[in-house]
Amino acid sequence: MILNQPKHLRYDIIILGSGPAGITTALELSKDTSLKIAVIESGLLEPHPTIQTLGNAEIQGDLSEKYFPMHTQRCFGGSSTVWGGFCAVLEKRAFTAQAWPIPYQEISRWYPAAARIIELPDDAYRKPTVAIEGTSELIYKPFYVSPPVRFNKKYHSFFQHHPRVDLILGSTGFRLMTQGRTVTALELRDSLAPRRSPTFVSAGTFVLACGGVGNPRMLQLSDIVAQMPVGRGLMEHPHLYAVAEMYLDRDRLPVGAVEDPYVVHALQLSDSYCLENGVLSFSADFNQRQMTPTVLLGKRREMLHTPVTIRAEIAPDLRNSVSDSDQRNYLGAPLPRVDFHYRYHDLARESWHLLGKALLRSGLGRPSVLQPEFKLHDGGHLMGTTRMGLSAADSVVDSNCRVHTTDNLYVAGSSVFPAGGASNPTFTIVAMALRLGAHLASTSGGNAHG
Amino acid sequence: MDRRTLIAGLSAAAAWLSLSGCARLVLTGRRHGNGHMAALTTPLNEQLAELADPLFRDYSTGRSVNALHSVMVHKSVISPDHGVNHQKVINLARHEPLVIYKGFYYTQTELELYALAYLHQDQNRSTIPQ
Repeated sequence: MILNQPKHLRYDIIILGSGPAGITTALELSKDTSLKIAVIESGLLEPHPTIQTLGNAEIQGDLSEKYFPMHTQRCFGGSSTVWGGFCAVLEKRAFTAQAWPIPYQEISRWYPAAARIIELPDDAYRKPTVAIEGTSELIYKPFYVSPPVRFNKKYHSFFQHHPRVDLILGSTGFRLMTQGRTVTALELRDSLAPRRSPTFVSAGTFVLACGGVGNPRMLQLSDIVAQMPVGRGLMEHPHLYAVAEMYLDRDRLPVGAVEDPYVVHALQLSDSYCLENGVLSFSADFNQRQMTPTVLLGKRREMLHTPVTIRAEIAPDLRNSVSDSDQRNYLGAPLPRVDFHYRYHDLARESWHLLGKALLRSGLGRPSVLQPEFKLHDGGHLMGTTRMGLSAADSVVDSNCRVHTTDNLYVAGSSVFPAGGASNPTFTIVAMALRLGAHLASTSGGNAHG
Repeated sequence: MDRRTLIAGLSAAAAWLSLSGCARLVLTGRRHGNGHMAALTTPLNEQLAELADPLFRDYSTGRSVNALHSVMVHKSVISPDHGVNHQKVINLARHEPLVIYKGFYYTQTELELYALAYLHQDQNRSTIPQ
């Protein structure tokens, strides 16, 4: 049901946030017929200008002024109401390097179900990358484009009619109440009536699905921090648009003859090459629009001539953080202060040089130099602020996404990513949310799919 | 001479040219100084003509055809008989440092080869009366 306040004082599971992570977790949990679930959303069915300001933040550093609340949407559907739909599986590099404390298969087994939710073709998980003959240093990686699925549209009917899953709109999670290691209740404020008394709702299990800023903020405002790096290590994906050019031997690229509007072509440094050379994942988009004659390794031939857009991974840097601002929102809570610097220019040049070297040496193509001056653009991908790891000393959640210092508080979304790869995160966010939903259902003794 | 005898004779001549590694005779259609001789060209000449590009004029400035030709022969990148050894170019590309020229990455050998091609064509052009 869709409500404007909780129907029950207690649920089995409360999910805070109704973006792709929250909705997907609810979808998976709803398969367990014994569970009573609440999804609580600060916003309404459509964006409301006042409530949207709850997504504001004080920015220090490289993020643009328009970043918030654009990428911290406060409405049903969350970021899915504005996303572009670009999807690709996460690179294996960070798993091999043990930045993630779980095997890659723990995520990849959920990609097929995630692809159905965001309406991607089977190739998105069956053929996520393709080897290129004659080189082990480069791979072809297609990025698939979801329609894009707007979760608020697609799942409105699900919430409207489901007897055990309540969508509660216009209620802002203010803080979590704890007793020892147990979260006992969630304090809610009416998003449009700040003077109204708070309400409290309890649950056996709580899931934070409020995004890369909202998740650490809820932990900070609830004083669930201890020695954990809550809010620290914020990552983004720097985008460098048309920052270089490439000539490519089209005959050696595993791309179709006809341009597919739902596929964006990219070359990546292979995982093994990245590991051997100590660089992070790095993706160079190209298109197939222009063929031109040129020379390459002693032959003249017709080749693709394409601009290059780079999308790259940056390492978690503890200086990039979400913390308290001096300013407050209209509900009286401190705004988040987001300190973020890409510190990426040197690594961009190094990574591009490596990709260019691999390109030319394999005879696959010829790269240009990077433009001498370039601007880094945001991807709107906030990751790493409640990172997954083995201990509370260097992470916030364990391999099941449970907050280390609690018994019943979990986190969904890309804030748990300890490494963000060079791929748009939504596909992995949805896969991870399915995994979390199945885990919670299994630990609650239910019968959800695992 | 009947047709069969002519074909047999041409076949024998072709085999001899191939085995001896002699330059291949190609009728280019261009008229030389005396207006009667056909141009003598080789696979290498053809390949260099194909690679010749004004893009590499700047790189070729101050370099000589003979010097570049010697370097390319020394590196086994070209031979008068067999033309451009593409596999050699690829092999060298795996080890040579990259050079930036007009905003793109090249290998040193590539640039030398393209400069040779440009100068070679330029030289040929200048020897043909207009």
